[in-house]
Amino acid sequence: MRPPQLIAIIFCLALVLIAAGCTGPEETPLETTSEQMAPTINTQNTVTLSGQNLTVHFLDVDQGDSILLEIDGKSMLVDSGESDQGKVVTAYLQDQGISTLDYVVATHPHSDHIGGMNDILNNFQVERFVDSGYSHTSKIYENMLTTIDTKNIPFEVVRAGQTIDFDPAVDIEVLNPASAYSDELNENSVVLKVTYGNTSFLLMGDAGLESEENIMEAGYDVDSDILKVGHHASTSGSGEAFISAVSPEVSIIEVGAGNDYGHPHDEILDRLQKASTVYRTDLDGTIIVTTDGSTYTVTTEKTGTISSRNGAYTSTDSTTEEQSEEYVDSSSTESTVYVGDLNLQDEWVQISNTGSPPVSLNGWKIEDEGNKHTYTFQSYTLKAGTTVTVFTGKGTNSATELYWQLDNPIWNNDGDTAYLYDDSGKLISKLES
Amino acid sequence: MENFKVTLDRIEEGAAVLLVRDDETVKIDIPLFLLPAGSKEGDILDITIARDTQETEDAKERVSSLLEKLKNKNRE
Repeated sequence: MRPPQLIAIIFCLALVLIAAGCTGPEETPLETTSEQMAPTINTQNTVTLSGQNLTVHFLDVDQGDSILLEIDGKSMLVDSGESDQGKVVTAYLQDQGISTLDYVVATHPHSDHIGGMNDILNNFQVERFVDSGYSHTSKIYENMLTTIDTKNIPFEVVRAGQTIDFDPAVDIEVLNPASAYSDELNENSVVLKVTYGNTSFLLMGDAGLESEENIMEAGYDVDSDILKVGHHASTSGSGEAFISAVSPEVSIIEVGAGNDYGHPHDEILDRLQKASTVYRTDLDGTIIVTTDGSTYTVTTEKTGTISSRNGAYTSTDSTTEEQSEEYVDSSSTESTVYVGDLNLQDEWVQISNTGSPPVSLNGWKIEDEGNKHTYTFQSYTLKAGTTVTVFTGKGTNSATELYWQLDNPIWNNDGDTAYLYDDSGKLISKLES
Repeated sequence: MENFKVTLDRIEEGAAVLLVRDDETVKIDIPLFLLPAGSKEGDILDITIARDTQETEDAKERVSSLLEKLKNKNRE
């Protein structure tokens, strides 16, 4: 098993070197570079055929970002969430059996991206650290740099046009920061285009309109299958021209439920929903995209929602083992409807539809723990990408709010579970609160 | 009088996100307009919080006398 793989990798490396030798690697505009890289993409298919999957995990770290990339026993972490999420990310990586991180990337020094870094640096062997090189005065950033220094971790500042040598089968291009830094930390975010065979990811960090313009002006090919939306889908980024150029099939928003900043912004959400299928860590939990280089599958923690490109999805062990205990087997229906939130104090439950088709909830039921109370939906259709709130009390139903019309509260404030059943009585989703 | 330093970590939709130094595990969101003009990302700010006993006493007195006045009014 091992020697042929090694030979394949050495073979790829040789081709990469040959390809790089044909062009000036530093000053070559990217479009030319990717054409020159074409021979290596062909050899990637031989690696792909050996059955390696690239798995990209978009971790639910509340308001903040953390993304894990894994292939062939190698791993790369992009951002680590807030300080209080360092433990969460550490536990997640350990659950994946990771003890060494080949790369850690800090997109930019805001605390919701690097707060957890010290936990990461102290719990894992980190082989290389990649930074935007634009400094910040926070103690969090200072402590991170101190730890990198103390542990003598190889440290690298990247700029647009460079590549990251993560795995021979995976192309990682740096699209930002530009050669001249912006005055804003967000706009100096490390932006990565990750390509594995025919599947591509664009990881935006918190980059906004200014970076988007720079990236497009520089002539980079931004067209990507999966977009990690910039800056938690605030209005600072995801401009119309850029989203149209990226033309994502899947957009992923890393955002905290009920955050204080109004993320994601309605206007941006609307733009993304028109262009792609949107997943959000506040509603879906951790989102995992697995690709063999030709097709990809999306799995979410809360629903076990599985969707795929070209309808080529077949169930694999890797996707089933990612599903959390909250996963409810919905067999072939690939349900995109689930209980998104349950508020015990304010007495409401939210049902969301992250799929692209609208779903008729006629005859569907919501029940509480012990099936003491049942709400049955009348003729109601949950549109794609929308959420309906079902209040326990009395009120007038609207397109987004439904009322159970009960006199007394039903959700137990000490803890309760909302169960969602479809019209055939099958359990579709549940949420414990 | 309490005195502490914060890092202006970032500005999100008109809210300044302050991290209380040196630990920086405590986060305070505050409207940007409440900060000194020209405050920007990366600034370290010195925050002083003092109890205003005079203002507190004055307010207490005003409210008590208003309350008394209303009580007496109802009695009449």
